[in-house]
Amino acid sequence: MTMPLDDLVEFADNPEPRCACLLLLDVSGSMTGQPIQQLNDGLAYFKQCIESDTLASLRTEIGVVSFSNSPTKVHDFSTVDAFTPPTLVASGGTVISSALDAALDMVEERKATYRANGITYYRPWVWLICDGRPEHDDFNEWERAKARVKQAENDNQVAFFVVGVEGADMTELNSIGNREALKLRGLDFNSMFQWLSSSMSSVSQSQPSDAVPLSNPSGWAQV
Amino acid sequence: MSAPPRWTAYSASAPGTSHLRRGAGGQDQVCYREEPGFLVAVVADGAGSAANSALGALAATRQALTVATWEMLQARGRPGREELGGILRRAAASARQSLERMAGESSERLNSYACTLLLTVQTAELLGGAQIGDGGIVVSDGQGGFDCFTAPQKGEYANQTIFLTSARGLEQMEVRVEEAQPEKLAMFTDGIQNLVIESATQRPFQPFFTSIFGWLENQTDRNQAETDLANLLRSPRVTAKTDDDTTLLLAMRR
Repeated sequence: MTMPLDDLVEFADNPEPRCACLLLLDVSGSMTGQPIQQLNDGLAYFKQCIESDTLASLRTEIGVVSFSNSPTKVHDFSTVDAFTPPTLVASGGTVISSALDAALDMVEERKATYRANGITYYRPWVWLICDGRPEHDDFNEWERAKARVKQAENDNQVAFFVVGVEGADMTELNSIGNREALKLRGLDFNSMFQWLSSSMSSVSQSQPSDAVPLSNPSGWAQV
Repeated sequence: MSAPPRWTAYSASAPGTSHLRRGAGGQDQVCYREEPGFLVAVVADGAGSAANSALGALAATRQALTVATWEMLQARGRPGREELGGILRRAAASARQSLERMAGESSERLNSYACTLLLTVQTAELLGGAQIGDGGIVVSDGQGGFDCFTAPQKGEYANQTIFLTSARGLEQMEVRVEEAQPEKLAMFTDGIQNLVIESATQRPFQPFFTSIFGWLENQTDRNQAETDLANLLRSPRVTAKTDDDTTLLLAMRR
């Protein structure tokens, strides 16, 4: 009886390729009450969903930035085992432009870390969730920051998604990035995060174009 | 005059767990032709997100194999260095044309047939290899070690590569012909690349190739050996590391 091939072969022990997923979350005063509570529950559920997929849990790195008058790094990028879902508190105004900058900077820093450590990676995702409009943004800053997102998308640096919560100014949100903003149905953050989690587990499919292959978000978005 | 050299090839392919989850089969394809005096082997990986890529990989591998084998027979198995480079290029160009034809006849986009292409031809004196996209060709160096014969073509991102159907796919193809007679040759798709190539150095992971060829040298039944290889690709040790299709071709000169 010879040894099974499975026991005999040695494989390289390379680090898993990573996919950074940055959640950029509006915590302005208007999110107070049900919205922020549902969002916090959704974050915990997101962790569960990713954990249920072995490969996605090794590959996905979640980072969280919240913003109201200014952006705050709430959670640095980490794989799901080290991700502690934060409890966000809503207060303050809405400045989006500096939040867009913070998100893009954090993603570029993460890519540099991957490269420095010989880790291969997928195109990072930024997921902006907002219930308002750029209320307290300087007009020029807002235009500049939006142009930066568009440029980053065009240069294939990042895939940028925008989700509007009830009350959001969808026209303003639509003007960020290259994709149409999606409108969350009610406060169904759980369905949205479940969908996002399953999308994360299909990023490894190779692409003949730069398009991100997303399944239909009709389960949670108003189409 | 001594008898022409012969090769024995073994291949196996397994659909990725992510493909199975979506109810889809595999999109990898592999085929080879053993002739007295030469061996032709072809591997292709259909792009996971392209609708017709399984068909694209099937057509591309068969077309490249047919053209390369036919031209090698015309050259009586002994083309010169430049001639062998031409055979590799024409086989790849013909594979692309077959996808263009299918796209034209079905009104589907050429991109929907996107696949990579790895092609090798070994003769008594020469080794020729062509590569479009990721995956790899690894050969023994005659001193107990293994080297990459061509380089995997990757973009910035792990799932980004060049395809046979890309606008400049044929121009970006790497073609290499050497006066080399490696005893052992391996070809594989990107599904197991991370398991057999060291990502930091981009060199073959030596223990993998040493152990698997060591095992192969003791195999007497090809069908059984190919079944064992397929089982290896389906084993939890592999599927814990990749959810993509996996394909491995191993060839030995005898």
